Amino acid sequence: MSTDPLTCKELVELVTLYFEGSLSAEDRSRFEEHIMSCPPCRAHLEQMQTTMRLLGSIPEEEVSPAAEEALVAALHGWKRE
Amino acid sequence: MLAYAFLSEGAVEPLSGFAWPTGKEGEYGDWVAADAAPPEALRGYRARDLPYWLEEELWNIELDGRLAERPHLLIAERARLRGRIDTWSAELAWEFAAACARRVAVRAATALRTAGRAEAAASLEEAADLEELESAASAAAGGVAGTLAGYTADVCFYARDAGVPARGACVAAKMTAYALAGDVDDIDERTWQGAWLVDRLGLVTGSRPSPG
Repeated sequence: MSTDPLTCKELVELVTLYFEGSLSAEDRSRFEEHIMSCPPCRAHLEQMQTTMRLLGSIPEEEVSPAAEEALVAALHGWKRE
Repeated sequence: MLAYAFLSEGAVEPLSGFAWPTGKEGEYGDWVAADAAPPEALRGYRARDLPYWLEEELWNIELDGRLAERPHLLIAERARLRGRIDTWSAELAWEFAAACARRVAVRAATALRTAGRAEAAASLEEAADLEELESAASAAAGGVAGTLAGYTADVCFYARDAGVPARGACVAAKMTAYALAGDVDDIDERTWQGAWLVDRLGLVTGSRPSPG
């Protein structure tokens, strides 16, 4: 990655890596600098954090085996298209 | 070493959500080690890097252990808050945003005057605050001579649109560097911004170990 400041589009693409802690130290800093001075990207990050927190709180037992099977089948079908 | 930390309301690190322990009535907060905080939450800024991280509260922070240098910030192995700097306020944040916008407005006025648009130039120079400046700059935008006036209007609009004064100030600082130099990291502009903040915040960088 270059040392140029991130664009909003690049930031959106890097959000997952940021949460995973997979960005290099320099890229992490560039990511955070962008967040501090870009209210829309900051809002996006906060929404992602909220989504991850809420999804993480859903117990696995709430997904029935039938629903899980149907979901997996649907995903397989989607991949073949 | 001593450095500065911009935090959200309630001494919360804005990116990680980590709530710093604060001391009671003038006492220092407890030391926090890296294993007791989110990754890279134990961070501090040198005075020259303050314009990159503006947030609602400004604190003195003591960083200890091995320090990792990142672009415009330092990450520590442990750290503690040493007291809030009360001179940083919503009012000063708006003042800083306006000061940044005026840097663009000065150049815009020169371009307008050179093009024979003295009245438009004067309206930029006489604007009292961000709102007036945005209005004057919007009216003066257009044509080659009005390009910088357009940038001035953008700085004002997006700063005000940020809502929270400190975030608006951060937006204004970044956009001003871009408008004047085409580079959000422009050394001259960022140095000017850092010096403005040090002066108006009353930070005595010379007597501190190395935040300057």
